[in-house]
Amino acid sequence: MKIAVCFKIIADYDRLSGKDWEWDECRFVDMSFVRRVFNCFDESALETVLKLSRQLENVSDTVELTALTVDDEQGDLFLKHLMAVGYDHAVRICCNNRLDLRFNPLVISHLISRYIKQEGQKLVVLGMQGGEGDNGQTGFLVAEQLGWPCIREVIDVVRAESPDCLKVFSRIDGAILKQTIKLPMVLIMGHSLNSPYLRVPTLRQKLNAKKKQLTIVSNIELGLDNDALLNKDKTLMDLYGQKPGKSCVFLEGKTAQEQAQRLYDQYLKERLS
Amino acid sequence: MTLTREAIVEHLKNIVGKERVITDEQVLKENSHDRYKKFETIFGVYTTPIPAAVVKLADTNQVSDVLKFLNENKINSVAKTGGTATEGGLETIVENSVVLDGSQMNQIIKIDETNMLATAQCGVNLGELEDRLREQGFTTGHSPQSKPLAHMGGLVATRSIGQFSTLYGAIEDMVIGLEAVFPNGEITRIKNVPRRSCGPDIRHVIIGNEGALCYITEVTVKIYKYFPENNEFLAWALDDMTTGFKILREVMVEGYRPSVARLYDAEDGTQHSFDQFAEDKCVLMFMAEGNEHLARATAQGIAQIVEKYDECRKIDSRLIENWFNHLNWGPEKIAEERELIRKNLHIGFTTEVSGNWDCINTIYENAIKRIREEYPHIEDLTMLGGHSSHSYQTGTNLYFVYDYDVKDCKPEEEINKYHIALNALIVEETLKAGGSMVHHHGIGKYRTPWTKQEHGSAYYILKGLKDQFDPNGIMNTGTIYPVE
Amino acid sequence: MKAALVLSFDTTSLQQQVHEINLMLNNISTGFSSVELWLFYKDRKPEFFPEISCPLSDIKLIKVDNAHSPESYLQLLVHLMGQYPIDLLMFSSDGSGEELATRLAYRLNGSSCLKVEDCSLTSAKLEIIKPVYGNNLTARFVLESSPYCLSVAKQPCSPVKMTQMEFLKMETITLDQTQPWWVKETLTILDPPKTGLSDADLVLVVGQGAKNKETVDILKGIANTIGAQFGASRPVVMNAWADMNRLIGASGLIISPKLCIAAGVSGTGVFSVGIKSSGFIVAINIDSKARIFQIADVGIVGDVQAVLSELEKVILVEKDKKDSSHGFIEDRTQ
Repeated sequence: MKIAVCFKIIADYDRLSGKDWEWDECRFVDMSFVRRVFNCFDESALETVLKLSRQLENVSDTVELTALTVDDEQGDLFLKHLMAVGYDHAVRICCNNRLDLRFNPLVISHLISRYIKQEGQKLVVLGMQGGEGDNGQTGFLVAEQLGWPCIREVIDVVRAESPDCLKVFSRIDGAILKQTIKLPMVLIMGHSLNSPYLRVPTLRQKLNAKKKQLTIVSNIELGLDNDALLNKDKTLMDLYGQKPGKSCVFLEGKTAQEQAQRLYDQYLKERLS
Repeated sequence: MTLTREAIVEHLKNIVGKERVITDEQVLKENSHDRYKKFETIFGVYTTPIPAAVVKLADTNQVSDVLKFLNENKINSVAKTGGTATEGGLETIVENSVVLDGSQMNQIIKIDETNMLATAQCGVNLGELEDRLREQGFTTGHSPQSKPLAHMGGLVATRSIGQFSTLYGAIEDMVIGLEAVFPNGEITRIKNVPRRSCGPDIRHVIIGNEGALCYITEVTVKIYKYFPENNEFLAWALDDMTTGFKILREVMVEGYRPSVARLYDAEDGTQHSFDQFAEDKCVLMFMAEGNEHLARATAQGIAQIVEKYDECRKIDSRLIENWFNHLNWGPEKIAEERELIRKNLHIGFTTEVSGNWDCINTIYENAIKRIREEYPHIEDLTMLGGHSSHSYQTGTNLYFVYDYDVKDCKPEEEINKYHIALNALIVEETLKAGGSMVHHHGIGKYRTPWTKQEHGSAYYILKGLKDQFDPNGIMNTGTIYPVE
Repeated sequence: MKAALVLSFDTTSLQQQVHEINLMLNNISTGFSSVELWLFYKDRKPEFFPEISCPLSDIKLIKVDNAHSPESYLQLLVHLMGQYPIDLLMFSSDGSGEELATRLAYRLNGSSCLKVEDCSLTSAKLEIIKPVYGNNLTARFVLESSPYCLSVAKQPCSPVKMTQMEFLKMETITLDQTQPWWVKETLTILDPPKTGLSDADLVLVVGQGAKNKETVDILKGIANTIGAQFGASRPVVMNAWADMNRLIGASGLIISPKLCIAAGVSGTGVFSVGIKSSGFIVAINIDSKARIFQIADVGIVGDVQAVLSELEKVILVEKDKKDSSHGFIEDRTQ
């Protein structure tokens, strides 16, 4: 079975301080000085699929895993990492750098679904949301374009008895839904307690991955010219930073006991009554 | 006659009051180890004997009274403050040991702006002291990764070093005076003077004693003016460590004193995401700091030296600055590490050594080579690299870093199968090349097999100290000195 | 401009969802020529309705056969839009609302946007505000093509009342729906009962600074004794130190208690949005530079467990005092 996981690399926002949140005339925030990390929901998706592929291989199904991202060259390092942890193919869809794809999940989903149609994957897994746009829509749109069923807020996926099905656990209003679903399908990962982090490759795996080739595909090769990548859906008018913080009063105190007493006397007493 | 566990606890309660003697099972378990056995303890396995009690000491007199009692009854003690030790120094390997916890002796006694001195009790958190000083425009200049958690007593006891050591020196360069209590209850104070020629420098009997000779109760360190606005980061990518060591040497020998001077190999750089801007390259970085003129001249001088080397490609200094600002280990980082270990059975360890300029590259190459060739579980390694982070006129340190998947062994077997074996190869290669086997973590309890080899004929002096000050051997048995 | 509010009657959080939509309507409803409520239901036809803050022109009650199948809702919506075209559809803040908004807009060539915090009509164009960059920034967009399908942002708990709407035009719609043939087997495992966290007056939220599961358990106990509900940041939940229904933040609950104690949380954008509208915020963190202090009213730099254990003692002592003073008064009356 061919499986694709789509992921996004984002700047580690936790490493930006208040003053770093500035943007240029095109409303791009400069984050070139901050390390980049896997978007957390995508990281769960990547690890979940690695675990799933182990299960599928145990029943002698051949599994072919593809990791797919839409990014510039900076994505290559992460693709190599994914080859080292067990992805068979690492694909980067590259577009003209000057195009703003941040708030354009429609175009991203076009690129992804065209690649999937071309390669014939039966399962596509994506995280439910990711910066910079925080659009939360790409997975749904991929499902629409492929015409496949789609399960949102997935927390786990495991092998089913029938080889053309998977058991999918997802979160719905007030319950966890366990469904056996026939392939093909799009799964949108939510909070996965089983696989929050991606595994770490060994030295040997890293070395072997270095020898493997990444696949770079351009939007043109996928039949979408630059004009087709423009955002015709919505126009970004402005960005706003956080409202200025409150002026926090720090409570002094030599011991935790003193601090707690002061907190209680000065602030909590009236509020707790 | 040896006292029973219950009798020890009773006596301790009489000395310090019952509220200061902790015998809660979980607390005792937590106090039986340090970060050395982090793997097994994360899985709830405690192989070290559980101490009889943890005593929360209130003041120097209590330290004296408790030590006198332990000494008279030959009960082993383990001195502890912030608890960030990494080398087993806090392990209670002797049955019915007593942990002497100084973390509640946490008063900043004085900040003396005229003489540029700060005096603190042993349980003062360095981060807190540093914050207080910075509010007044000063700094200790001491900034180890453990700063958010470590306390002054422990930092001095282990000869700790900070990230700005190349300018400010290590803790032994900062300590001016001390108060310490010896096992017989003797309280000793070394006065604060700029320098003197009155016999050997006895501060060094106390600094780095790891609780094996005495208990540090109070520390006075010098302070510096703090000019963060002048900080300037510089960084380059380069092909190999040999060039890096050469440049580090040149910078030091030319007399520049950057606060930070670090050299990472490509593999170690990966775990800091350096591969995102210097893939497969070593990274060399500096920070110039201090008053405006000095900082500027230092940055310019270093840049001039590095730029002679064609191999070096300049890196956006903001990348390094941002990384550096997130380097410290607070409780959140430790929690994150614990969870990664628990979930992925994946763990990292380090071994830090030092060597003169003429042998440092040999130590680096030979140790890595030997691990690659001889270590039987190399397949489980996910990372093997190193960096230099503290340079001197005469040489530098090397911090070997290795991560591995723990496979096919019980939690309590992990340390032997992996860290102890890897650590041994590095220590052996270091000693063979003429370096020192421990740069700044302290010997603790696991590098003691090499203490004698480390000191050679000078072990006579080291041994003499133990015989003189701790004849009953009640001070952190098995630390620094091998168990005979 | 014609608008419709699209909701499911059977969802457990209907009244809260309507509150969230009402907030949005406050700024924009004057620009609408009509507002309809499109209410899906499964088995029993609704008799009570949530209070919507602007006058409704019509209620359409739509029977859905398979409540777990987004495809069923989508088919119904596409059909309705063919019959009764609408310019702007507002969907609920939950996953279902987000999915329907996105997929319906796609099928009808409209524009969609999720987590919308505000919207307005400016010279016949629809402008919306939504968080971006992990809740560190907000962005204003103009949406280009109608129908506009929006799902609204989550807001602190303030459920609206349910009422009867007798005088309103009401229409029931039942249509044939294709069954989702790809679903072979379905099983639902009900969540534990609701915690009371979302509308509590006093909440203790714990972050990774709590260090480990044991400490988190102790802090849960403290929350209990001081009468606080217990919440957790994402890392704490992902570490399985607390249940998923305790998650506070952009992907969990948005709360606004009178008093919120944030202990050992660093204060990322995605977390802070979950507590920032609390009446009063106390932050406790060992790191004086932690971002959580920027949204706090009072801060304590210190060890979370130490401070909270002491606070627990203080509160217990005060409680004792109160109890015993009551006892004293009672004694005198005897």
